[in-house]
Amino acid sequence: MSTEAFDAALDILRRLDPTKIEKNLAQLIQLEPSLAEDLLASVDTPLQIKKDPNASQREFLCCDYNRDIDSHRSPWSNQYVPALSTEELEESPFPSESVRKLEVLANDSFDIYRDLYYEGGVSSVYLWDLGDNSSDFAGVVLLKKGDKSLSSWDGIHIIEVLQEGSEVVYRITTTIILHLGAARKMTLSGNLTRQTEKSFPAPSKLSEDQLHVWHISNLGSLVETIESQMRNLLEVVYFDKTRDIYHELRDSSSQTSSQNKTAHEEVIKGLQGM
Amino acid sequence: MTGLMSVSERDPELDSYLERVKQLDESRQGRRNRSGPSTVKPKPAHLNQSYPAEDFKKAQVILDGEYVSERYESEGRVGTYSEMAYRSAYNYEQTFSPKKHGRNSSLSPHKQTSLSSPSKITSSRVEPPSLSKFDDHGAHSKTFVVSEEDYLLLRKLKANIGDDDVESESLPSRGKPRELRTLEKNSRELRTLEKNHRPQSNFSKRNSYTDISSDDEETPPPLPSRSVLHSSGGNSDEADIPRAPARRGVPKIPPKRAQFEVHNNTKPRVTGPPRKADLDSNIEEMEGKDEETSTNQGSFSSLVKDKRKELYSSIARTRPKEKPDLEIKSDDEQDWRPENNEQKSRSAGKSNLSQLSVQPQRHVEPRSARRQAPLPPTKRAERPTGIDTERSFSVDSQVKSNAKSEHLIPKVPLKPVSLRECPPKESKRGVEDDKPILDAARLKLRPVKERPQVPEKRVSLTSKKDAEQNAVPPKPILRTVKPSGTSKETHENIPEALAKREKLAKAPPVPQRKISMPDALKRAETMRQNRSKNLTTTTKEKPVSMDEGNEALLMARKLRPLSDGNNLKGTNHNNLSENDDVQQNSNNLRRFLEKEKSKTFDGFDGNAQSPVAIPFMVQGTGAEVKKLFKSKTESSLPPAKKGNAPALTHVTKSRARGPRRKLPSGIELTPN
Repeated sequence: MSTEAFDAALDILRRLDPTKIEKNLAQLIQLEPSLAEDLLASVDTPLQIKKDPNASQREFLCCDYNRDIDSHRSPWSNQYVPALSTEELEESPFPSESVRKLEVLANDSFDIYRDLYYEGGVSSVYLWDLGDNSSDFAGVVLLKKGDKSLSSWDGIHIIEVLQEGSEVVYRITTTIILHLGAARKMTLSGNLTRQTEKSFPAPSKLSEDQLHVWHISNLGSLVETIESQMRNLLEVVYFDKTRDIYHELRDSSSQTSSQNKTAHEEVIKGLQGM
Repeated sequence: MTGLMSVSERDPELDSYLERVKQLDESRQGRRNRSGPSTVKPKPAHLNQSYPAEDFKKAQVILDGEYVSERYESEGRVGTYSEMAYRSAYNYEQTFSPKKHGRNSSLSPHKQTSLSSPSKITSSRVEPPSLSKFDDHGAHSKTFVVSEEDYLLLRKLKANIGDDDVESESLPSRGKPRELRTLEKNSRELRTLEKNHRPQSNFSKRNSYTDISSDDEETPPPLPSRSVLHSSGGNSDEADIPRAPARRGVPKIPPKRAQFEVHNNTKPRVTGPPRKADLDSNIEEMEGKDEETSTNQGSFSSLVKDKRKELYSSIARTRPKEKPDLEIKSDDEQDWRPENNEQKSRSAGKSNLSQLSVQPQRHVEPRSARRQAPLPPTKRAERPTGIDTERSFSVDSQVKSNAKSEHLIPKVPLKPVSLRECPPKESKRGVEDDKPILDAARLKLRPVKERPQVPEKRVSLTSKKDAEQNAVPPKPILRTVKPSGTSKETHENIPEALAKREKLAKAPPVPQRKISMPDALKRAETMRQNRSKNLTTTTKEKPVSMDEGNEALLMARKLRPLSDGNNLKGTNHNNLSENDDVQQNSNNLRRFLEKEKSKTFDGFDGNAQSPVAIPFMVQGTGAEVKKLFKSKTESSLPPAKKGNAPALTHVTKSRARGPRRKLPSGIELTPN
């Protein structure tokens, strides 16, 4: 039942209004609280921005991956905002030192990336360890722009770096939530999710820092390519599909279609004459 | 190689041609010799009067034997001629000889040389006049050769003796009479000097010429052709001197050549435009040559003994003028050694031609050269290099005569004997000779006659070529070369080539392209067939099933009461037929219903995937067709919907869930 409810919940959430996904998600969790953890982890919602008081009110993005209870861990200060109690903090998840170093490096690097591609917005990278293998880790790269405007771009890249033999596999699940609003007159919003995987030969004899740089470089290149692809997909899915729908409503190319028909008939006649 | 062969082959042809011409000339000479005296007759009497009696006396003295040359003695005809003939000849000489044009000196040196040094000098130049056909005409009746044109020119010149200068000027192609005045002056002086003619040695003459040449060297050498012309006036004497002995067959002496070279030098000087200095020098030279002129006069008197000789002496004077000096050298050596009648005739012909060109002068030769040039191009090259320049010259003159006589030739050679026998033709020809217009007509006819000659040459050439080709065509050799291997290979080569061709024909993918087109056509045909099938099935099924069924039912209902009592079988049949129709209709309906349900129906397996195009008109008429159309569309949609439902995949399910963490406070509250 859990799986079916979970799938059903996901299906419902996919078919509901994306602009109200947070409300719908909460209602689903209310309906089936056992699915709360999975749904919160699996359903991407628009990113929220918080300011890290420990990092001079630097903004950071909040998602379920850096949340603990109602607080979100800031990548800049590695502290939850709002601060948790000591007891809560003991149970709160924190990345290991190595991963934290990598996380800091990743935040710095993706902040540059954000500045280059978004010319604004907010970026945050959160990493965590996967099991006992120190080499494997996971994380999330968050990119958001348009918090203060009606339109927004939310990019959520869930990364998994797994060392399989002599290769390092990078599996990235990307979700882009696009919302286009124009003063209540028109809204166009949706989300697109794609999962990509790419493997690199495992480097040998690299220091921790070098290994971090290597990982960040690989991740950065992957995120860059994926985002560009996703952007094109969004353009096709949203805008071209809407155009098709628009043309279905009223065909403005009747003349051209008739001309095409005549041309096709001529071609067929020519072929028959051959 | 072929070119050389052709060149070598042309020569014998030319020779044969020239021989023919010679024969024709000889035949003509025979005729003219018969009519010869008529040519000599027209000597105007006023000319006889115009000349002083002293000249006659001198000539008489010469005829008496003072200057009897060896050749004349050998001929033994010196004293046979009468004074009338002498006068006529002398007048002819005076009229046409260079004396009247100041060329008297040309005659005198001949005579002097003949007298003083009969050995070489006489042999060089005096012979052409000695070979004059008049001599032979009296003896052999074939020696005189004069073309008709030349003869006509002579006639005209005789008629217009008084206007010789004008005529010479009027004639365009026969040279330019620039120097006539100077020559006339010289001739007058020479005439005066002739009275005191004294024999002089050839060396003195030569020296005098050399002096002239030395003087001439100062002046730039003029053009050779004109130099010859002008030299004929003053230096023609010099030119004539060496030739006379040459014709006598006297052995040559090297100094002769030197003399001729001197002539070469002297000629240009004379040819130059008339200058006072030149004239003075010429006069001085002539004065110094008083003795020479006297000797010339003496030689002339010896020549005058024969009318014919005189005529040809005057003719011969022109001849050396025409010829370049270099030719004269060779003439002395070779051509005149053997004195045959033929050679004489040749020389006479030449002399005649040259004589005719005396006053028009040298243009006769260029004409001949021009006419000859196209015929024997090879001999042109041979002329400068050729050893027998005399022969070449003679050939030239013969070619001239040929060119003129060619038109007459084809008629004559075909019937030479008959022509000789037929007097009227000869008389006609004599009349024609008097009328130049007829000559012009002949000239017009010439090209027509040349045409057959050309093909003859071609035939000869072709025959030779054919012979060569027949010899060469062992081009089967090429066949043998092709089978360079063995004979079996030759047999095998053909099938190999064919096999290769077949392979090559197979190689190109052209047929594939052709096949591609029929595919489209086949598809189109299949489309049509499908359409037609659908239509036929629908159209046939409809009426057969519904309409015919209804009609059958109606008919059955109508027939039932009739058939019930009469024929149960028939009712049964009708019932059966109705049942069959109903079954058919039901089957058709089933088929359509099954079509709607499944695509994999038997009758539409292949057509299920292909789109079925149904025309609008048919769709509107048949409801079954509408069903069919709907079934297609509707049946295709549901499975797609069914397939799409499970297609939803949630990628986010498999992604990393993140670290373990506590749920938000609000959510926690809700489950509670």
